[in-house]
Amino acid sequence: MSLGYYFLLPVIFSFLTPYFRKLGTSALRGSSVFLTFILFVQTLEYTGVSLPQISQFSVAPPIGIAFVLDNFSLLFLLIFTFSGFMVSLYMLWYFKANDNTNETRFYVFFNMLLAGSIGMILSCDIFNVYIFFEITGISSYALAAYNKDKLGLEAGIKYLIIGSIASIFIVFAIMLIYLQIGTVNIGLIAQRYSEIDPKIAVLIALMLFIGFGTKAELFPMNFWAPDIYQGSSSHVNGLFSAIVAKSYLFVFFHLFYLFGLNTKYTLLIMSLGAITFLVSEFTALNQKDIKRLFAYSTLGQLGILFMALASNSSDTISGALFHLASHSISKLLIFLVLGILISKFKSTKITIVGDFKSLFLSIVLIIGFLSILGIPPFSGFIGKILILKGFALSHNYIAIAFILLVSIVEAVYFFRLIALMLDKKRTKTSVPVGFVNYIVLSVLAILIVLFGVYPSLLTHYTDLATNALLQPHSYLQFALGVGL
Amino acid sequence: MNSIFLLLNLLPILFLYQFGGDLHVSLSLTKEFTLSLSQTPLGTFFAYLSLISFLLVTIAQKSKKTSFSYYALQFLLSIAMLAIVLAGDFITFFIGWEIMTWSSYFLISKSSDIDTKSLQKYILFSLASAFSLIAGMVIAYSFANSFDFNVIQNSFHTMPFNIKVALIVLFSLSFFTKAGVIGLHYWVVDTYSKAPDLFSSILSAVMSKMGIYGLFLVYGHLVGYAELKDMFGVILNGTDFGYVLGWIGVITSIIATFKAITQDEVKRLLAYSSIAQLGYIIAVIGMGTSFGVAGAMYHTLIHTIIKLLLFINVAAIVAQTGKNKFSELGGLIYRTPVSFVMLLIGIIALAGMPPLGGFASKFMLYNAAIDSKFALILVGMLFSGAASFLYCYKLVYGIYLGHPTSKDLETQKEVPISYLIPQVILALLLVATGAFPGAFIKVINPILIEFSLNTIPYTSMGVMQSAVGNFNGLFIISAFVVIFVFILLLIWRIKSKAKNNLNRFDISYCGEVPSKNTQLHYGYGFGTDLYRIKFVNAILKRSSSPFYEALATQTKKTAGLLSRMYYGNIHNTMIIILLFFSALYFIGVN
Amino acid sequence: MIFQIILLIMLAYVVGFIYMGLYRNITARIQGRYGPTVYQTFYDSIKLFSKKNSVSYGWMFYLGPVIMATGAVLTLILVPVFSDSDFLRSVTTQGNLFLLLYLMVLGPLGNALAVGTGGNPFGVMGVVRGLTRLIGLELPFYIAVVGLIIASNSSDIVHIIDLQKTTGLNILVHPFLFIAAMISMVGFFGASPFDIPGAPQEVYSGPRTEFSGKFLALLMSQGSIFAFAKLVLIIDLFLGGADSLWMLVIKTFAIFITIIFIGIVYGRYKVEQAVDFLMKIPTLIGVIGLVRIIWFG
Repeated sequence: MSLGYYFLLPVIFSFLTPYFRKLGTSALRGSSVFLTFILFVQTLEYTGVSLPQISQFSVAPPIGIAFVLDNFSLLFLLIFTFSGFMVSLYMLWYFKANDNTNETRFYVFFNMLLAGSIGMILSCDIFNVYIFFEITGISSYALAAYNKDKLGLEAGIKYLIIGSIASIFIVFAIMLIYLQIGTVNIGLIAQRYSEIDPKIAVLIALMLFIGFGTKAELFPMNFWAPDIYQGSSSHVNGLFSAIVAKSYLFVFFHLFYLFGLNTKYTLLIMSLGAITFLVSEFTALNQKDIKRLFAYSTLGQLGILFMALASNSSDTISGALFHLASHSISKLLIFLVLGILISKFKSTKITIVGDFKSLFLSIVLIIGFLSILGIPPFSGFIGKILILKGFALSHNYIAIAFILLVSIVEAVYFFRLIALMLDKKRTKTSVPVGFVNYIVLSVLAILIVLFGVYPSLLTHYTDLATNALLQPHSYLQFALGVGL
Repeated sequence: MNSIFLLLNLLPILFLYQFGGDLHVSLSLTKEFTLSLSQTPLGTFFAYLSLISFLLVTIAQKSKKTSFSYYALQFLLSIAMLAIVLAGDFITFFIGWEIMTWSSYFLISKSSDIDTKSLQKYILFSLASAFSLIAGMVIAYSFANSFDFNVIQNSFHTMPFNIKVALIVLFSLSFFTKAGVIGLHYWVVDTYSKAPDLFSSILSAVMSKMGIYGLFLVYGHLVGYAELKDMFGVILNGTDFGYVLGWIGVITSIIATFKAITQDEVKRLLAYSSIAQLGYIIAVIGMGTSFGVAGAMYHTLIHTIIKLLLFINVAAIVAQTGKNKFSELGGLIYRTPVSFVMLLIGIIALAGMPPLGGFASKFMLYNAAIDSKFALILVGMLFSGAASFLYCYKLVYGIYLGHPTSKDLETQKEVPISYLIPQVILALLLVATGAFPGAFIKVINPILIEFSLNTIPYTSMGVMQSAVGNFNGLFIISAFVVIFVFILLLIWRIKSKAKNNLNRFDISYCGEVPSKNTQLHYGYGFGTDLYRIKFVNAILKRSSSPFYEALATQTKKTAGLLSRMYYGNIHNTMIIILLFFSALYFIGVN
Repeated sequence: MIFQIILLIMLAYVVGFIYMGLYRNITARIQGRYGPTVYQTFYDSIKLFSKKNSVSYGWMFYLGPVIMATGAVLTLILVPVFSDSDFLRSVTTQGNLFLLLYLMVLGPLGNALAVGTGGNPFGVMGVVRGLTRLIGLELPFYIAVVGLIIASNSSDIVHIIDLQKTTGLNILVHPFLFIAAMISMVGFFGASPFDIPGAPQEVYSGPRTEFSGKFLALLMSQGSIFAFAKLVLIIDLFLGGADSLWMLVIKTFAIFITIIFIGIVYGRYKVEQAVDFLMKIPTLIGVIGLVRIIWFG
């Protein structure tokens, strides 16, 4: 299958959604499961293929799209398609158990979101990156608001405004690049970035930084994020956390290393990442709303990822990529469980985690929590220790101390939730889980444990991805070879 | 269920026995991480110590209704501890350490009188301890390029001095927290007292020993006592390092002893006593002499036995009577005589009285201090030992002696046999260690060789050798028994038939007759005298809780302050983004 | 061997009772009373042994005094009463000073169990006061003993005695330690100002409140044996021990009379005052002696 189908298939399915709806709800839901399954299986096949690979579509040269898949994007592709598959399975239960008037709308934008975020990580043309960026953006705004309730609409609008601002910066950056170099091909830009007038280069870098940094929820551009998470449905939050934020993160660091910005801006981004981590974890302590709480937790984890990914050292980055994958899985798990609880209790107070009675849900939720806290034998531990080990190897002891100290703050609220769950004095209501959720949540939980006890399954890919990120020769070769 | 898990608990013991002290396995996780088990004499000692403790506690659980998940978690905990003590590298060690942390957390949460605050205290301190450990291990990795203990040991002397100090401090902090050194003990008392009654015995007897194991591992194995001496220099006949640790341990034990005396809850008293006893171990663990190591090791063994015995005993009483305060108990001696005798043996050993094992271990500890000429530290240990008589007596008096404080105590029956079996085994162990203190030297000597220290001369089972005099445990215990029996027979033969009088109110009471409402049990007022002693009062009125409470309040305040940023509306966010951009731009361009 | 031990116990018994009698007598004379005869205490104990009826509160009550007596006799055996006797030397080397320190407390603690069983609040109050006092009382004594152990590099009493033959008596070599130990000894003898546990005229009669008949007799007898053992310990540690009966009597009497004279001029402390005092002055004196040994010895 050509790489182009990663983008085309979701788009086609997205446009066909109304027709599927006419065939019946099961066709609608089934189509989404089918699509994500195909994409995931296809991605798994790519793991055995020598990379990078390229495929191009020229509409009428020089207009066209070129996709390059290297080991770095493969890791993200795996995460995205897998998360998409899990969410689409989960939605089988969700629309059965809940109000499904907005079902069609959800699937349209869900498929669009997949198309956009996958396009963003595969595209090797910065203008196409921008287009996919917009597609992802628009579908996220719509997904945030698809329930058409007050909070959701507010979230959608806010997201829209912030997204537009980010877009403006990015468009300006692309314009400046094009004016300076005369190309939008990422490979060419990377090669000739040093030729740009230094003052303009700073401006371009900053604009890209602000644009993608805002979307990737970096402090101090992330004040909007908790509102969005609070307003959206829980499974949408799962998507935001596991796919959307990660795709912006991908572009951010892809360009960061390709354009050679790592020599100048490492310290800035690392310290901003650290501040993000600190501020979000502290802020999370006071939250009463469960979705908001996990929004801050997501911000915090993104902070660690920013710190580690900007660190320039291959050990740390490899660890960060592991952590990223583990975080995606764990957060998805948590948000899906929360979705079940929220739809049962019709409330988003944090006390709902203390009100349910279901051994299965308790166990998977606790596994998710412990994994995010980095406690063995769960995958988060491997990610965290790899990051810390990387920092130690580059003798960056301040970062180690910082991460560990703030992690204690993080533990405060996670264990407060666990204590709520274990509190026998609360009256507990049993919660129906749904057959398909048993599968989805078990798969996620098993993966967390599996990566925790057998990390080489994943480190194999993260190491390849790190090499691809830090030594992009082969990527550049392919990107430059795009014959448009 | 109980018998299944009893058998299951036997398995690791058999497994360990099967390998006969030479277990070396490793399994590669990733290219950097290897899980490896590597058995050392030190590890073997702690492994048997913990596994047998778990077995005994499982026996005691027979008559207490216990859920499957409780047993399963407890078994997981025992396996995690096995992984800790057999670990050949830090990754295995840490994985075991953290599994221990969370499985014990869930076990504690199963208690009926646990509250969120105590749970939070426990887990946060445990995690702080774990994070301190993780920091140490990655720093060690950055110099040794391996997590393997032997590699780290070999490359330790090549590290820069400040890194060495940082490593020692980080590891020490981590293990001190687990052992409950004063200042870091904030979690200990609440956790021990509110955990399920039988699980408290595991917490105090075994889990705290994992901290001690860690200290041995770091000081004896990774760093090496010779290296410690080179690094920090020598004071008197010992090392500077040992001197500092000596004071830390002694202060811990003195403060905890006085705190223990004033407790009204039985398990709180035992918790403080546990802190105090571990203080002794920490006081000698850094001395770096054969006697220091031997004393610490012997006391580890004895304290494990004693605390298992006492906590199981108290758990049985609490289960039987439903009361856990000295002011609510009393007068059970003739209702539960076997329990009484078991507790008596426990406290005789706890007080360090001859002729039981408690004295032998104390003797080793004191010898260690004499050996290094740490006289004031020795006096401190003796002093805290003298003060500990008070809480030992309070323990036995408050529960078993005096008068019953309520009607239902007068009709109690002896506790179930399953509680008594482990107690009898442990009590026999205490007698055996008292009679044959020398036997333990054979266990210690391989560990001393492992630490490249001189071995302790062994003459016979009954004799404990030391640099400054020996004592013959067998002689003492037999002399004691002979004289005891002799005097007993003598007084038995004297023809004055004692009138047995068990009436509660028939006592000399200044010529009055106490009425039904007269409080005759002294359990509550016990230890209040201490508040009037200036020195002790200074200790008792201080506490580490204001510090930690303040820390929590400050964290909350900071959180409140920071979270205000996130309630700004979207305009503000936009302005901030633009301002941030311009600020960065000006910095970047200039 | 058994014969020698029994002889030793008899000796301690007689000497101890005479000292007890002297104690009462001398105290009375100083207070301007006539006082009982020297043998009065001895007569009392014989009388009590032959009393027909005594109250008991079960087997623990029975065992308490026996444990206490066992502690006293064991202490006596492990202290070399005659420093030249080969037999006593060989027995003594089975134990050491640390063992003695603990054995000295074993008896009272054993008896405390019986007191607790008796259930008289006054008795328990006495025990608790006694244990509280012990915290302060042991401190100077420990310092002295630790000092001697470090100075002579042995916890073996025989070795300490032998060493004094070459270096001179410890009372002269380590006067600070001696003073600290003596102040503690005043308390160990139950003399004022540290006679808090019994506290006559205050808490009935403290730990002994419930005991009568043969139990009280046993307690009195062991008390005198124990007192003798403690005196011997002091002379072994500081006065070079005794090699003949005369030396033994002279040296123990000297120590004994000093203790009485120190004690008699003070009123009784409250328990907290006693501990406060003991933790200050005697401890300070002891620490000076100790520092002298460690840093300047």
